[in-house]
Formats: sequence, structure tokens, C-alpha cells
Amino acid sequence: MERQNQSRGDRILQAFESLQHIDRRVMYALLAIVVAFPLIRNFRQPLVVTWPVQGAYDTIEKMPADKLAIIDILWDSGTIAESRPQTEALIRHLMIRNKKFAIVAFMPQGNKLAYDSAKAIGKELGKVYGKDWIDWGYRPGGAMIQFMMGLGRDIPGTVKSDIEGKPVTSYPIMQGVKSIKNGDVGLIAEVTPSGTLDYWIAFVYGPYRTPIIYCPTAVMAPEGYNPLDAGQIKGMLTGMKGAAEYESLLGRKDFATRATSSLSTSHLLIIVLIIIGNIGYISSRRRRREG
Amino acid sequence: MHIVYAWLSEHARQFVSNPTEAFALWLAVGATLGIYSILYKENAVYRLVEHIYIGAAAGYYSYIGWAQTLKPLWWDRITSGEWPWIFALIGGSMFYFIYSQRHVWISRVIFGALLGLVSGAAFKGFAGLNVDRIEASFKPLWGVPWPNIVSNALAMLILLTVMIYFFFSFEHKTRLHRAPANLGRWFLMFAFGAMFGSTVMARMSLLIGRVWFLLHDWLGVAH
Amino acid sequence: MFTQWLVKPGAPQYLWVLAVLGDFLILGGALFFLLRMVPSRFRKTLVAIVTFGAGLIYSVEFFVPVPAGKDGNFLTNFAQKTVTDVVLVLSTFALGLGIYSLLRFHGRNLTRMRPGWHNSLALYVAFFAMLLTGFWSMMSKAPAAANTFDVLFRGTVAAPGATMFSIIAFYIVSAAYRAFRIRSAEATLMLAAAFVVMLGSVPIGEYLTSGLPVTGFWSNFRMENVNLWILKEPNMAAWRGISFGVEIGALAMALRTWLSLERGSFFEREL
Repeated sequence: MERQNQSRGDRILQAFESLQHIDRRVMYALLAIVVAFPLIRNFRQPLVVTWPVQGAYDTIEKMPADKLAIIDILWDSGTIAESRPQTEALIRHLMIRNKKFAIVAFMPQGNKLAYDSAKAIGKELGKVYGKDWIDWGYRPGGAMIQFMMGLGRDIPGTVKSDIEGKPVTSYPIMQGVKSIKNGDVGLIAEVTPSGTLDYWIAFVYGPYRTPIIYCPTAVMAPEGYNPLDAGQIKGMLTGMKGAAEYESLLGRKDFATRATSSLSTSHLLIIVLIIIGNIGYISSRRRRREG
Repeated sequence: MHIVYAWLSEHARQFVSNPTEAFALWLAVGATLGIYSILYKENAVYRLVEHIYIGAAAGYYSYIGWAQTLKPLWWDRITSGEWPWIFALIGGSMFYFIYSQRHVWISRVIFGALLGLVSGAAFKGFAGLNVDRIEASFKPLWGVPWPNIVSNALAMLILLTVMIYFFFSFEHKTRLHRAPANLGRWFLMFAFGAMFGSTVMARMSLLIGRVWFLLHDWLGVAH
Repeated sequence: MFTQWLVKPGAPQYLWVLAVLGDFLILGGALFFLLRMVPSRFRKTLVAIVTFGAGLIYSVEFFVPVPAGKDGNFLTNFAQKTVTDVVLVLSTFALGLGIYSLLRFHGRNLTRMRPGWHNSLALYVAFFAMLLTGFWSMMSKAPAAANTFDVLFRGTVAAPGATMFSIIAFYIVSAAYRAFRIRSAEATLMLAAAFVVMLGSVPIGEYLTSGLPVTGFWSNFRMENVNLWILKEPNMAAWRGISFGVEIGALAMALRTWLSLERGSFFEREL
């Protein structure tokens, strides 16, 4: 009887131990299902707007209408799912509030993707390129610091031409825009998957105190609380969830909002798999100890 | 079958009415599925799509580098009479001596210049970045509600212990040094756990984007 | 030279190309021969002088006080405008290094017909297709040019790029499942923090504690508020500690690079 119980207990432990060895393709299939299912069934979950996102929203609301906002694009197709909804939410907000903005990209792909987004939203809201918004085009990331310093003293001289190759001074939106030092820039929004925010803080916020909004991918978000706490950035949109919160502030349900339910289910799956893996691990440790 | 037929008809109609969109969509779907094939196992389709992507991205970068930087900032200046900009081409060509075994040192001159510029800007960068953060690190421990006092004290304790942990100029021999350093290590584990949680969210978001593309743009089953 | 005296603004583009090439060969050639005459024992010194001189521009501009009534010192305009323009152009020329390496590597695959040469051929085809279509769309106003460029960009650049990065999601699931084990107290703490942040960042986590009031003392225990507190207080403080260390290290590294004190195989190689 004792041997039977022991072997049954041992069998149970063995079964749990095998939980450590689920085939990766099974996990991949599970992940695909839990991501796809909420999108197909169109699940909606209520969103809570957090204070970093509210801070970003309020900063744009408070920006004077005669100032220019600069949206800095540092993302490319690799992080399009997070960065594009953030970019589009900001662009939409600026256009709805009739605030002028310029896009500048330090990544070639992001340059076109952001331009296409702005063009589509501008067409929807009746905004005119060159009058309500402008795209300064691509500049190499290796010269980012020098470009920022140049904007501080002379924006038209540093930027020179827009995405279409025309001189920026030929556009109505750039009339009267001299430099950041002159107070012509009301806001800088950085949308980036990398740690380039520090350059804007060091070379623009430090000397000129221009408000900055930070829109990182979720990976970089924990590091963003450092400048947020120091007051160096006024708000932060954390990845796709941040974009979804921003959309809810704009009263819209775009891609980011729809994707949050898939975020929930995929996170739950990872948590469940980690717990299962640890059950297997604890069982194997126990078996080894008893053995 | 009826659903599949309706779906195929819809896409065929799009090829006629809006061929640009249709071609772009099907090319993107092919590339997406080709790359996802690696999840099953390594295969020739994945390698091919990967190489096409790298080549196309390189071609795009080259075009954009000329069209939006070199042409307006350099070429148009030379052709409008600012002839000293020819020296930018000479300076830029010095980079390419990196491929010459005999004259590789010439590339070091221009790399040195760029490195020097960036290094020289480090002082301004350090001051502009850290003064506010140092100031913000001294948080109020009185005159604020008690939950804030607890939070502020904890934040300063964590900051101090983490900085002590990273202080490698002296060996962590004494208890006075070891104890806060160990505590700092515990707090770092906490921060790395938070970072992992955020990383998971980031990666899942990227996958959701592609799945949305396949389900919404291509198959039309997600709305 | 040619671009200064012989070819005037308004001349055809091909003349400008020839003029620039001519100037490049003459002036560049002269500089090249001058540099070749530098004895090898002085080459490192020359590099160090150039590095130091370049670094002086921004550091002197930062440290020299601004005279009263002016908005910059004697170097400010030069440092923040002229140098900016030059560096922008030079950085773009440097982009070609990566492109050249890529094409050279795959070119060798093709010429020597190594296994997988067809992939290298596909790379070349894609490269030139994208490049030429780009220039076509730049020079021609025809919709076909812009449309072709758009199709190629979306199909061969944007879509595969996004998909490549999305694969990481699958790998992170299997990696987290295999590697995240509660082997020690620290690992357990890390796991607990990760769970709270993961749940607190998504609506389902917010839903779990949605029964708690939105304001008042108990609102602090709502999942999103716990998550935000973790990120804003302990996480922020830890990252600030890390960033101070990194910044001081970066400043020290910058100083060593500027003064050419850096050691290592790259810096100590014989020139």
C-alpha cells in the first residue's frame, strides 16, 4: 500500500515535472490564438487614463496656438505597432486643436510612415500641408545632437528644406519661426524606441526649458519615469497602451484601443505559462530531493 | 467555401479598382507569412524574404540619404555657388579609407574629428541632463502628507543604495559598504522585474500589430 | 577651381557633376598626397590633434561665459550653425559605409557562387529596385512612379521589418516560460514585480481591482495605481541611480576620447 502511494505521488510529481517541457510550437500556437481571438470577437475593455498620459494631453492643450510643435520621429517599421498609434494620436490632437506642428525624422522608414499618417489625418480633418503642418524630412541620426543645437539658434537655417526638397521659408507655417531660443517652439514630442530623449533634455530642455512629451515603446518606459519625476518631461505615452489611453481622451477607438484586449490575453498567457513552468520546476526539485 | 469565394472575389475586385493597394497588400502578406514560417523551422523562404528585406531597406536608406539630406544640404548649395562645400565630399570620402589596409589611418582622422565633436559636447550634455535630476533627488521629508513622506524616503534610500552598489572604486569589504550594496541589488531586481514586464508588453504589441494586419487588412475578419 | 570659376549657378546638372568630380580629384588628390607624406610616427599625433581640436569647439563654447547683452559667445554661432551643417552632411556620407560593406559581402557571394548565392542575388535586385524606384519617384511626377515606390516600400520594407520584430514576442514567451524560475529570493522578487507591472499595464489587471473606489485611501490598491507607484517610486529611483552611474562613466569616456587617452585594440593599433 505504501509503495503504491509512493509511486502515485511520484507519478503526480513526474506529471508536474513534464510541465517544464511544453513544446515551443504549442506555445507559439497558443499565443497566436489568444492574440487573434479578442481581435476577431471585438472585445472591448474599459481603459483607465493614467496621469503621465493626462500630462501629455494637458501639455498639448496648454500649448499656445501661435507656437510650433515639433514631433521627432525615431521609429521605423520594427516598432510600428506601438509608435504609429502614438504618432497618430498626437497628430490628431494637434490638428483638432488647430495647433501647428513640424515632423522631423531621424529614421528613414519612420520619415515616410509618419508623413503618410499625417497626410491621411490631415486630409480627414481638412488640414493643409505647409499651412497647418510641415514635414522637415529625414536627417541622419548621427548628427542629432548638432541638429538640436542648430534648432536652438536658427530653425530655418538648420532645417533648410522640407520632405519635398523645397525651402522651408517658402511655407506659411514657417513664417515668423526663428529659433527655439526665441520661444517659437511650444512643445517637442519625441516618439522613439531608443534612448534619445536624453539628447533633447540635455540640449534643448536644459538651456531653453521647452516642454517635452515622451512617447517611448513600452521597453523604454521604465526609464522615462526618471525625467518625468525630475520635471524634464511633462507627460509620457507608454507604448500601445499609452496610445490607447490617449485615443480615449480624444474620444476615439482606433487600432490601439482595439488591441488592448489582445494585450490582456497575451499577458495572461505568459503569466500562466510562467506559473506552469515554475510548478514543473518545483516538482522536479522536490523529486530530486526525495530521490 | 462560399465565404472563401466571396473573399477572393473581393480581392480580385480590388486588383482592378485599386491595383496599388492590392499589390502592396499581397506583397506585404507574402513577406509577413514568409517570415513567420521560421517559427515552424528554418527554411529557404524565410531566408529569401529576409534578404529581400535587407536589400530593399538598404536601397531605401540610400535613396533617402541623397533625396532628403545630401541633395538639399550639400548638392544644392554647391550648385548655387557655395563651392567650399566640395570639402565636405573630400571629408566624407575619407571614411572609405577604412577599407584600405595601407591607408586606413586616413579614415581615423575623420572619425577622430567626429568623435571629438561628440566628446566635446558631453560637458554641455551632462550639465543639461543631470542638474535637474540631482535637484529632484532631494525629496521633501516633511511638510507633505505622510504617504508621500514614506514614498520619498523610500525613493532616496533606493537611489543611495543603488549608487553604492555601483561604486566599484573600493572593494565591498566592510559591512558598512556591503549591507547597503546588497540592499541596492535587491532594489535593482525590483526595477529589472518592472522592466521585464514592460518588455513583454512592448513585444506583444508588435505581434498584435501584425496579427491585426493579417486579420483586418487581409482576411477582413477583425473589425 | 571648376565649381568656383568655371561652372556657374544655372548650368546643367551634368556640368556640375563633372565640375564636382574634377574639384574632388584635384583637391582631394592634393590632400591625399599631403597625408601620404606624413611619417607614420606622426600619424597618431595628427589624429589626436584633429580629435582635440574638434572637441575644443563645443567645450570652449560651453565654458566661455556669454558677454552681457549678447545671446552667445564668439564660438556660439559657428558651433551651433556651421558645424551642425557640416556634421549633417558628413554623417550622411558615412551611411554609405554600411551599404558598401553589405553590397561587397553579398557581391562576393554572387561572384564566387557560394551556397545561398540566390539570396544575395535577391538582395541586389531588391536594393536596386528600391533605389531606382526612389529616384524615379523623385524625378518624375507620374503617379506610376510614386505608386510603385509605395508598393515596394510597404511590401518589402515596412511589412517584413514589422514582422521581424514581432517574432520576438513568440521567443519571449518561450524564453520566459523556460528561464523564469524562482530559484532564489531575488528571482522571486523580480518575478513578483514583473507580474504586477504586466497585470497593471493592461485592462484586465485594471478590471481585477475595479471594485475598489477611484478616490480615497483604498484607491491606492487599484492595480493601475500600484503599477504606477512601482514605476514612479522604486523603479524610478533605481533607474536614476543607474543613470547617474552611466552618465558619469560616459563623461569620463568622453574626456578620455577627446584627449586621446583611450586604450584598446582600435586606439592602440599602429598607424
